[in-house]
Amino acid sequence: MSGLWTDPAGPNRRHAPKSIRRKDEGARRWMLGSAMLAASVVLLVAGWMQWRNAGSLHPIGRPHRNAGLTCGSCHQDDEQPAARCSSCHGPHPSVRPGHRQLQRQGALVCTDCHRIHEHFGGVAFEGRQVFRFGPAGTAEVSLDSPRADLQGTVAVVAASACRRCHAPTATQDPLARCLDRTGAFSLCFDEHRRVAGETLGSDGTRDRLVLWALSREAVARVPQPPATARTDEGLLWALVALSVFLVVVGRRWWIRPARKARADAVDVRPPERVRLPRIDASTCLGCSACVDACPYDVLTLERYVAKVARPQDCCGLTTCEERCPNGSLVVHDGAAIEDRPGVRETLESLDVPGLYLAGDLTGMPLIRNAINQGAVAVDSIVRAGRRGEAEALDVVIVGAGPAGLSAALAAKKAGLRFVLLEQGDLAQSIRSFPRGKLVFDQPLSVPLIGDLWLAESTKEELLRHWVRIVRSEKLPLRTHHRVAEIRRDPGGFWIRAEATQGESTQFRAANVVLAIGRRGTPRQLPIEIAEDVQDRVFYSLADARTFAQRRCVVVGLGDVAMEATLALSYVPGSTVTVVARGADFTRGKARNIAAIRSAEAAGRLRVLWETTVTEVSASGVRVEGPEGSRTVPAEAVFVMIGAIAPWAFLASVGVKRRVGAKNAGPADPPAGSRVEPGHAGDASGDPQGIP
Amino acid sequence: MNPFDAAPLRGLDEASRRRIEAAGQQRSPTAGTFLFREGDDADALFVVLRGQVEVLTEQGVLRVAEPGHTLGEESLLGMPRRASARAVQDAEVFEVGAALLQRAWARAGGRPAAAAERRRVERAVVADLLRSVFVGLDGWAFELLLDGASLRTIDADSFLARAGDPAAAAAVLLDGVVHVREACTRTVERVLLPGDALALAEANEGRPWSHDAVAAGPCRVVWLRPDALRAALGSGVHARVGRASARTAQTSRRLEGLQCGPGPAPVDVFRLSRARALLAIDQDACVRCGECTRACTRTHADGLARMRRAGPRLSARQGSANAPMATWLLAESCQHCSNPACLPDCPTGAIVRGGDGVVQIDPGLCTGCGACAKACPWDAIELAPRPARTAQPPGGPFDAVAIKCDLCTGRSAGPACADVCPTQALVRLDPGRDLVEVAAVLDRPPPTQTRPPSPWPWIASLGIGAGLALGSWGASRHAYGWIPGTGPGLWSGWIAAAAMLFAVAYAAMRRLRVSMGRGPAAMSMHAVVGAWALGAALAHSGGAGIGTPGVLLATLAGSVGLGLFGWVAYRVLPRRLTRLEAEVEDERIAVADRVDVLMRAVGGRSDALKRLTATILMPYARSFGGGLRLLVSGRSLAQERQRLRASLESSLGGPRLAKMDGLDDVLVAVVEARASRPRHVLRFALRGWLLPHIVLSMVGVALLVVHVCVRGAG
Repeated sequence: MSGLWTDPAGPNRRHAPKSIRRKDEGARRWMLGSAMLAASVVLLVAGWMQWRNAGSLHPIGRPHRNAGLTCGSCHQDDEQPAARCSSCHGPHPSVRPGHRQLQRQGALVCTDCHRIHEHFGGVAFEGRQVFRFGPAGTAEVSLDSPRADLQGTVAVVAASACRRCHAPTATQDPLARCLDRTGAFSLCFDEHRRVAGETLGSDGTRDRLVLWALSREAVARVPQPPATARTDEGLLWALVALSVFLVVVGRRWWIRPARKARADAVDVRPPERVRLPRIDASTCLGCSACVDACPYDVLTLERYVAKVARPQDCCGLTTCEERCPNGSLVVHDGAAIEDRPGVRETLESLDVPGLYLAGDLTGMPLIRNAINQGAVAVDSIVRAGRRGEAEALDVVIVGAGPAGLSAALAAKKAGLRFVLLEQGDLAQSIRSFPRGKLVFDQPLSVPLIGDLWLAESTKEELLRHWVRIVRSEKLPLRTHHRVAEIRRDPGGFWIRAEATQGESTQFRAANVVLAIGRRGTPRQLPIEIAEDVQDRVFYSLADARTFAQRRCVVVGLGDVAMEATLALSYVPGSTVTVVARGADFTRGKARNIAAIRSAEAAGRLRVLWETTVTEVSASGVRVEGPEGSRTVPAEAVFVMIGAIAPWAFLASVGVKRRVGAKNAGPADPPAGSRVEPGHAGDASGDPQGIP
Repeated sequence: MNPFDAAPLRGLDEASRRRIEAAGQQRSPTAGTFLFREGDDADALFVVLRGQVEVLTEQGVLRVAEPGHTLGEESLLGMPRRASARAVQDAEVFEVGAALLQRAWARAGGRPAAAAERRRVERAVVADLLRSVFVGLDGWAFELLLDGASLRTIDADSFLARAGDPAAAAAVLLDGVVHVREACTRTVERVLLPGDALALAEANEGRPWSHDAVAAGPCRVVWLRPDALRAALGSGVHARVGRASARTAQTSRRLEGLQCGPGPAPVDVFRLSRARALLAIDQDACVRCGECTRACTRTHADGLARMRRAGPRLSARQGSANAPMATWLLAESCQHCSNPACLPDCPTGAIVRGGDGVVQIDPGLCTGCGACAKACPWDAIELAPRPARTAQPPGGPFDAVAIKCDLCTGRSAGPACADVCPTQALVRLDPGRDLVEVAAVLDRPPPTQTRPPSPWPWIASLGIGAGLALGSWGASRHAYGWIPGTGPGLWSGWIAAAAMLFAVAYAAMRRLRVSMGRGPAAMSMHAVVGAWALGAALAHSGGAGIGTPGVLLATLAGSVGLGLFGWVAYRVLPRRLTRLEAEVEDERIAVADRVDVLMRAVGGRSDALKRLTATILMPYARSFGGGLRLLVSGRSLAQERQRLRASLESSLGGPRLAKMDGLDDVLVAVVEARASRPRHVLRFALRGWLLPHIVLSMVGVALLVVHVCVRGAG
């Protein structure tokens, strides 16, 4: 899929992808954290239920619980829970004839005496341990018993159970025999089995007697079985759950943010000296990593060894050095860079207080640096504390490229009153950022937005994000407002912006951030263009598809013009004519020149050499060439004859360009810049700067 | 004999010598052993050091190579071997990558003898090709044609010619794939394969090209000058041209049978023609769990995945014409091409294609320069930091290394990704051999072997049903005397505990140890065991419980319930989800902001289209029940687009619609927006149950331990 700026005729050189985590891989770590959280919640619930169970509902004692009885085990539809007892315990007929008769009649059932939901309970013997249990709890009892190997459970039946039918105080009552003189709790053991002394034998009766005696002692020690509803189990669950919960939550809120505070030490100072790559041919692998890394075609591969082909285009990025796998390529410092405006560390101009410079204008390569500089400039403004009084703005940001946008976002974050002015539209602001291909191996850190990952590393993708950011953050962006003049008075700045239709707007602000790049303003044709045809004249090409079926004229033959021409010529139904002032190609990338030549040979476009434009009208473009004057019919005219460098504008504002004191070579073009029309670029030996 | 004393290897510079020494291999074939056979892929050049090696075909011995001679020059062009090589006596040969050697020669200033050799091979290869296209042409006429032929390499995505260009030459494809497409709409009409001719008629008659011809991958094309064509073929020229063109037309008809995943992107026939171990995922069986990626990371020591579940889709049948039509996701992973684009670009010869067809990168030679990663058209190679204490190539410590899929050569059960897929949706296949439609387009014999459908799901369903039924019966017995503490109630308790522990342990082992694969059998067994655990627990407890046992039962019921939901979801949902998914699946591109996509599609278009979008299409996209209706209807995205377009046409009229340039892009965005909600719902249903299931199972095991201990004590 070709993008807006992809070279249609060139090989698709790409960026070697780095290995990054797949989305699938992250699933496991996330799972672990959530699993712990979920587990803790479940345990909390379990603990609460456990706690509840031992409370007000009809609890059952330890032996029945251990046997896994549930309510439903005994309480069935027939409302006779006592009928189930014998299914586990076996039949327990009474030895007393009266009780036996009542049992046969069904008037006396197990639960009349053994009230398992109420506080009688019993004593359980498990080897060395003796437990006094009740429905609501269990407590361990220590007895001075010589026997240590007892097993069994003894149910306790209080005399109060007998009071339903018997009158314990009446002396004739058989019950009186079971109670002692004080009427205290006594234990009755011969209900189901005769225990007279003479029946001791090897059937374990002796053990049973011992158990009963010990039970008496245990009951004497712990008359009321423990009613601690809150068993240790429940509490333990709750504590475990709570601690797990806290660990999981705590990690997220306290430990992780601490790790995230990495030192974001960004260096926003522009470089001082020209840097050029130097290659050791004996170790060079010929892998072309450096050639592909250079956005400016500075390097080339000759006989499988890298070579610096166009040193004048080198911008000082060290990506080539980073990409070289074995260190054959090293970037060396050279002459001092000469055409930068002077700025402090806070990016405030050395010449004009209150005016800040950010982005490509300061000479800093890479979009990442431009974004950082924009943010730093606004931070400096906030720290300096100069605010606009009354109706004035706090800051006016000129230029909506990466630096300008970053400054706008930082200003919004800081709550400043500001406006963002752009001479073209958003697409143009990116276009004029002179990096042919974006090189990203880490996310861009944009104020207010955070980390911005670019997967495709193309201008299209960056523009997509730009548009979305402006829209979602509702930035006060005024497009097609070119700043013509900035005046400073003791109260602040007066900024006059001209819209395309010629009307001016004045802004008053306490600070100004200039993020206008180095490309400058597109040059206009030196002719008067009538108002009714102004909308046919374009200075940039956003989307060639909109010009399908149109006749187009492109004025100019630089790289920008050539790329636009090629894009237009491949749109179906379009007719493209190129108007060039010279007699042949004078500049531009070899690729573009070759593509234009082959497209012309194929008849896809036409080049008019040594021709100039004299008039633009509704019927077309009037041109004057070696064959005389004629009109080329056209619905769209693209004027791409270069740009006016911003130095004159900067000088009018008061910003001077610094000249390197030592190396002031007159003839060479200043390193790191392109030869452009209108560029008043020769460095003189004046140490104070070029006015 | 020292390899560097042999004539082809003399006079090289120091760095090249070191590299050739590191990457080259000395071989000692005994008499009668074959070094290579006719038709093999050719990457390496051989230099004879000692003894004699004969070059032969079926027709007989072509020549005998003495010490100092080279063998296998087709590797200079990357063409398959044109003859076999056999050692006459016990010999010693030095094998070196052709690309590496060519680099070395270039650095040393070029080698006239090598250039002549290369031209000779080129001529022979072109002659073979032309003989196959212009059948029966021989002698002097053929030589004329051959003289008028020139071999050129065309980069991927470059144009051979555009529609409307005058046909200055006819083209015959030697290697690669060319798409012939309509200039305005860019729809691919024909696909040219090696041996096909293009524009023969146009060149002969002097007409311009009627279509665009784009190289789908790097191609080698033989251009034939029209005057040579005419002169050579004499009076019979039309008939010959006609016949050659007819062959091309046949190929194009077969292309129609090969649909791509719904969408405007053409099928990447070049990719399919090169692949020998393509990672394809059957989207109707894939449950999007990501186990394949995780298994890949765990199999490799550096913990980095060599695959990504993203890529274009293809509709094709696997195995035989009777197999059901499946939608395959062609994942991003090395497909071990037959003629790898990464191999010649490596400056140290680290990439080799082994005898088993597996393309390997040797980390002991890889410098991490990234040339291979840039060369691969499908982003299968990535650069990763080199782990400490691993092999370093000579020349200084390198901190990066290129990684890519190596088909898990160290793993006995084969690629880990295919092994751990719970539904066996992931396969590594050779599209030209295993996919019916692709084989038809690539002119290969049709496949005849099918994968038999797995019986496990049916067995499992029976098992699950039986377990639950028995459990319910057991629960009902609690009214008749069963209690949990003794007897059958207790035994069911033990069965339940054993089943729970087994299920959890089994699942954990399969998840944690990648060497144990997975598959429908394992999943079925797990489901059956889980269902029996629940059944037995019901029989043990009678379906009620308080305290820890109650919570345990609830947890177990929840876990098994979720598991059964997952079981059903795995069988029913993937097919629905596939229909709703976008044409190209890429997890990297966060399609979070639908409004963005729509804005871009509408931006710069006519007012009429913008109005249509605002009044009709946006409400359509945002409609609340719309996603559900789309899901229930079972339509794919492409079908929904057609339906929408048809309804727009009927309400607005065809001519009005035709004027709206860019309507198709808007429809794509709008239908995608509508489909995004049901897609999220389905994906969540496929993945969302697993985590609570695991959590509940683990908690259940903990509670089980508590329960058993407490009971055991009482």
